[in-house]
Amino acid sequence: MKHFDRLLRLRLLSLLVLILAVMPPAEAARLPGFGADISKTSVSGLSSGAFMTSQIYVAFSDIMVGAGIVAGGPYLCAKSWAGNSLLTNATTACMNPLTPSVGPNTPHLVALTRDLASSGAIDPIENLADDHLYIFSGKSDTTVTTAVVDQTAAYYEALGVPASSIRYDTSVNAGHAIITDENDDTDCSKTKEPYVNDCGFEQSNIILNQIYGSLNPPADTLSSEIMAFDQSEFIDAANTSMSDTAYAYVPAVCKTHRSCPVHVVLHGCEQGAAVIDPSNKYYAQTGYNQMAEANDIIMLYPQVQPSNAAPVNPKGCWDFWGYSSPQSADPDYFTQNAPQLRAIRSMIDRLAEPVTTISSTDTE
Amino acid sequence: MNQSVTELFDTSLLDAVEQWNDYANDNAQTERVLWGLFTPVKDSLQIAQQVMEAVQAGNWTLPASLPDPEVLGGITSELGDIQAAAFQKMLDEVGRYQNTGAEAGKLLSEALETSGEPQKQLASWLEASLKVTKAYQEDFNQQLADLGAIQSAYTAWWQKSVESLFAGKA
Repeated sequence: MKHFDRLLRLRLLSLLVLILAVMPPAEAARLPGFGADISKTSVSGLSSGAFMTSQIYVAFSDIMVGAGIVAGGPYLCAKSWAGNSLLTNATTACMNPLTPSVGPNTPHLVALTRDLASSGAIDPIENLADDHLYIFSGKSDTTVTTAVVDQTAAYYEALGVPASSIRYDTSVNAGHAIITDENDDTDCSKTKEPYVNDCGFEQSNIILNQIYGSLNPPADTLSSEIMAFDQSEFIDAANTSMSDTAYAYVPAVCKTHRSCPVHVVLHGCEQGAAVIDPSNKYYAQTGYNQMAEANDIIMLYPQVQPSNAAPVNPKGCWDFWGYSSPQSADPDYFTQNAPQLRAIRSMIDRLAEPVTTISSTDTE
Repeated sequence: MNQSVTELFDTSLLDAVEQWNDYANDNAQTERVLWGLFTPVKDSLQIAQQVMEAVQAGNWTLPASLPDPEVLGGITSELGDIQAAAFQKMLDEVGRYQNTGAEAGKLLSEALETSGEPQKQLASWLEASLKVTKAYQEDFNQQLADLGAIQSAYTAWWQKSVESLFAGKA
């Protein structure tokens, strides 16, 4: 009898394993509303995520209170020089120009920005004046050089952000990466996948402190799990290169009791979850969620992935030269109507909707 | 007679052939991506439109008087900087190719000296030649990037010069 029981249990276990093996993977849940206070939204990102940070920040400045730009050039940078294509400008003047004088054409970009604001394609420039910015360029970064990032600081000053509200750090001998305080991450001065470097401090903490003022130190434990959600429902264009799934971290208190601000975190090229999962480096191990927990902030991690054709985005970068409108010689990748910006704004708006019942499949 | 074909070859040789095969496939993929990025008609339209907008926005006109010597000095100085930087890039390229050449000679000669069975020798030579090919390709890619940066720099300098000489003087 004992032998029979064991056999039965074994059979049931085998059956369970078989059922689990043939079941389709669980689809990511719908992003719920959490009644977030999106009038205090902010955004930060690395590299192409930093270029996208400027695009989101300037285009939707009505709801923004600040931004963190790590190794990124100014808004509209790919429009710097008329004689170069957008792609050429993006990969030369906006990353590693031959000399600083042929880097981003800041006066021209400032004028273009003002024109866009006048036309209503982006929110008014005046919104930026009381915001706080963090800008960073590593001394050993040869991918997006300090000559380019210098112009990011100059650009925002020219648009009316006081120099005292900009924390621009070029003091660290870092490669092209977001910075952490994790011994297991890449050595500080190197530029190497997954572009997360240990330089002895958590850059996410500094970014959020610069934007929101004196915050609590990061929490040791998290009250919630990271949420995988269906990003595809926010995508209404064909060539965005955005993944079907994105991620969010919502502290427990923000789910029911409190209207929390939103911080959007944008990964760089070759850093999306589609590339570096299962390590979850960017959305789980860069320190943002611990700060979110300690300070009641919702973290939103939109995702983009590589695409070798339609659109051509082989490294999975955010669009800062127009790949998301491949048919157009004058692509819109920078206004409120740009495909990727529209999608991200819709996600932010969803978070502001009244609290809905969560039927999510949490991950992590 | 049932012996598999793979059993006839040394595993090191099979690995080396597989590595070359992967490399060829990766290259074919890269080539397809590059072709997707090569859009001369769209780029020409884009540039033409941007130049038209720049001319209109800058109100370019012929100056009524001789250019300011300070402006001319600035233009010349920037051109000098660009030429110096371009020359340095080319020197760096020569240095890289020389280093790769020296390393390649060393790798290939070591591979040829490998003693043992002919299949192992061939595998060793294939591995070394793949390393050499990849190193040369890296140099070539860097050279293309440098040439792109140089061309972009001269284009930007030209626009800056024209704007500082002719813009808004009406």
